[in-house]
Amino acid sequence: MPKAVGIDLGTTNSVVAVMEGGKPTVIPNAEGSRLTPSVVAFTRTGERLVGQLAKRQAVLNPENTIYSAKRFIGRRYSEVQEEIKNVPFKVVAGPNDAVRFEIMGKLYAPEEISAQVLRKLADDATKYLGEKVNDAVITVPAYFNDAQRQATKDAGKIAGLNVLRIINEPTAAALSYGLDKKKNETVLVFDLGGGTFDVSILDVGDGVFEVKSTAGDTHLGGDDFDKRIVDWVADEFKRDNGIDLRKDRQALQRLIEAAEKAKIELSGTMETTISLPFITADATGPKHLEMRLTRAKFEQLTADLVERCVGPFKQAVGDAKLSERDIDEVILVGGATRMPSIQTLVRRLTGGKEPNQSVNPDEVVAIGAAIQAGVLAGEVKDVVLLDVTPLSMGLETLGGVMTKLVDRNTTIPVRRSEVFSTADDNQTAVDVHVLQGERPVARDNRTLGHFRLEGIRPAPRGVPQVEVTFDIDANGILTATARDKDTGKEQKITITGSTQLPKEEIDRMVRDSEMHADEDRRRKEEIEARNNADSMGHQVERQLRELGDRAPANERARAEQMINQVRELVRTQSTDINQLRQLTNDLQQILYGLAGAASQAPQPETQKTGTGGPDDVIDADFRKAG
Amino acid sequence: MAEKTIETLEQDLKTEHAMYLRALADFDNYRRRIDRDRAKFGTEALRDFMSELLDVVDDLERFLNSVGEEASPLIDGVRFVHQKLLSLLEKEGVRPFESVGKPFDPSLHEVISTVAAKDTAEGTVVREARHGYKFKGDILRPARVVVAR
Repeated sequence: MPKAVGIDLGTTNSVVAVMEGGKPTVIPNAEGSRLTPSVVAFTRTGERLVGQLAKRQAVLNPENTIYSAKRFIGRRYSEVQEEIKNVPFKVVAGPNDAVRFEIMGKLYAPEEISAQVLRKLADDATKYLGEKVNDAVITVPAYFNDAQRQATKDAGKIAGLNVLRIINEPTAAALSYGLDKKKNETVLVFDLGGGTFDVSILDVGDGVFEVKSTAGDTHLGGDDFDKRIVDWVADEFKRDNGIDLRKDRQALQRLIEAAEKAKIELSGTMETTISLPFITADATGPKHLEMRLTRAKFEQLTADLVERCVGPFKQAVGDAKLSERDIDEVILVGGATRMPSIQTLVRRLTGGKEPNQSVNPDEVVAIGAAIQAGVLAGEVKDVVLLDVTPLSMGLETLGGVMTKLVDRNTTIPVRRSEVFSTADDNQTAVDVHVLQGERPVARDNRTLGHFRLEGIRPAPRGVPQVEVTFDIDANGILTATARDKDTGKEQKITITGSTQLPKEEIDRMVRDSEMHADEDRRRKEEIEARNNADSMGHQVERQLRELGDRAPANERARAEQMINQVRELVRTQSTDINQLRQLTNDLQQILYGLAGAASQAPQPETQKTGTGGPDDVIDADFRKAG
Repeated sequence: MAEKTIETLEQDLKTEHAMYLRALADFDNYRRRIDRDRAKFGTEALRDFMSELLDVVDDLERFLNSVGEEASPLIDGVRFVHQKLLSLLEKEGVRPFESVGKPFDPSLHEVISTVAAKDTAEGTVVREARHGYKFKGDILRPARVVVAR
């Protein structure tokens, strides 16, 4: 089935994402990268290169390597005079003052260039998914006029795509956070990319989006921050060594890379080292660059760039006829918003609002576009958006532990079964105590229900097989069934509303389990130690019974004494794990010894023991009937 | 009346069944992709680490270039360290590839500058500023080259 994708056609880089099973995913390109440079090159041998490959030969072929086509698309030649100054390729006027790139004697419209990028994204996506990609939602800046939007749509058509819709980048960002599903809110989208800065104020909610205002700086981005580091390092080096590294292509390239790396590191650490051994050489020998850059110094070097974000912000708020206090949600877009200085600024400007950044800021626009594509292509309609169980579900077993049957965050509908058994000899009924929660001790969780299955044939503990099945349907209704595999008897209980707990309650229960994780683990260990000791005691007892007189007297005496000890410890709910484990080991030794004695005489069929059975049989503490 | 209901139900059943099959198919495709991705993922993390390590190999080579043919126990020692590093990388499938003298290929090379070279064909790699490396046959890091104009 043809897939619909969302494409963030950016000035510097583009991203493509798709909806799969109701969830958006970014698709890597053929080179394995999630970002594709928006660069197209025409080589002298007649080849057309797109993306990273085009970038690699830019220095060789600057007049025929087109980048930032987005700055020209849908605009008139007379409007872009400033932009032309910044690029090495030839820009000329076409019919009706249209913009054309002159490449090796031929004229290309910006839409044709962007179409190459779109084509590569679609082809790579097709290859990755193994399905044809045909339909797309493409994003544009909120300030794009009709001509620019139409030209972008045309680019899609030229690329052979069916453009479902052109949507605004800030709108896409809001979509990816699901803000359209909430009640009406004022959303600020703060987009600081590689080379451009855009601020938008949106009115979002109940499926409706309205752009109230936009502002920005078309030449402010993360690249400017890199450049500050490069200049500072080069100036320091020049002062110390008399050499300007910027004049040496190779040194400059290393420096630029190191500067970008340093900037990224400083978003996580307070200082970093720029290490470039053998960066250059002069008559006195090789020269090295080793410099420490602190976050404080970096922020000082870039403070004015951060301040440049304030003007557009205030303008956008003003144009929307609002004040900072009216902003309900803030969304960060663009890799540069990872910088702490930018986040601090945003908080300062919005009166302390915590921005939304859980979605990767480089990908949030593409993801929103993919969500929109999914809706428009009817995929979201066809795919049932599935729920999950917010908390684990299980039952109470021997010793008061909770044995989970369905883990938390399992997609529903789901069915899980396990086989349990009895805890005591001749137990003829089992009580199924259905629980919900994350803590290992049954008592600490929420009881969903109780029911009992009777009529189990008397047998030693651990022998009967009771299959317990939890079946949760798409609406979250749980049906718990217990079936005696021997008699075929069955009992069940239906519980509704178990997946509809309020979010605070769910969060609290999960938090509790995390807070008590250590002590819970300890308690579980204690319970297991008691269970194991008890079980071992039973086995030895059984073996003694079978052997009767054949059991050596001193062994019997010793065993009985230990069994009594275990009984006492279990009765008093002893938490002495070491003693319990020691007794378990000792009893096991006795068991081996007795088994040796037993094998020396004809013996009746050995009973199947409780522990050491098939993996999925757990001793269950089902209370006795009556 | 009942006829109509049966018809509607049959239609619904057909639709539901189709959706079910589609879900199964999507799941199957997804699972196959996950398997494919999982095999790649381990390699992905390794690739990132290898790339960073190559920067350090570069630095060692810069040192060796700056001492040229000079010999001394100290320099020899560094030469051995460099060799050891290259052997380790080779064992993992990381190998440098030759670029000088070859025609420029953007899938293998990144142009850092151009030079006028009278006796070399235009577009030929004249010098390497940084070695290129492949990882199990796939390009790991393009070579940074100077190309003849």
